Amino acid sequence: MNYHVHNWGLNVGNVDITGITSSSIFLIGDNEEIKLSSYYDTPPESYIVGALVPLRQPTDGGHMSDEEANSTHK
Amino acid sequence: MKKRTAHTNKIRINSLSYSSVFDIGDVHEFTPVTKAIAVQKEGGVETDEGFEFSNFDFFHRQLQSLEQTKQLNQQTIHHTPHIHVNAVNVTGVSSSSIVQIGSLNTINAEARIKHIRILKEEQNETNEI
Repeated sequence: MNYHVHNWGLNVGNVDITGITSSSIFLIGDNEEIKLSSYYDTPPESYIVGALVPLRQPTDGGHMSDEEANSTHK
Repeated sequence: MKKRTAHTNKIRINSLSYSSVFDIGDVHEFTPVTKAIAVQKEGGVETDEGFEFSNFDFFHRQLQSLEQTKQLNQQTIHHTPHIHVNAVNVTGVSSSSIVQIGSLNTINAEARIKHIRILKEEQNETNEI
């Protein structure tokens, strides 16, 4: 695919933005490649009623290995 | 690709946080990563005990990102190589974001935010929501 771009004048007056957040971009200029990704995670288990924090307390022994930590959390 | 020059008279940014950048000039590559756990607890959060990134596999899970763009035969001609913006007023820039005046080749930004809500035991009318 051939893609020709002809740019003449580009004049913008005033810009007023409240928030630019989570992998966003406000660019005055040219660019070639933009890849923006943002991931949100609010599964049911992150809505907790009552129990303080259901995660395991650190055992007095050494640090629990990663899979162990994951398994207890699921 | 030839780049244009950007002219700005006035810019005002109120706050900049969490691997964000405000840049005047050209950038070749920008790859910010943000990991955040947003905890809201009734009665306030005293400690960040128990909220380590290692506890949640959401932060190490390999999430599918956008695949590489195929080569595109693009030809750009700037008849007037200028971009004029009079004034810019931004209140907040946060978590892997960028405000830039100038040209930018490649940006590959990633932000992972996990939300946790903790409520007290008793709910006024209904118990389950």
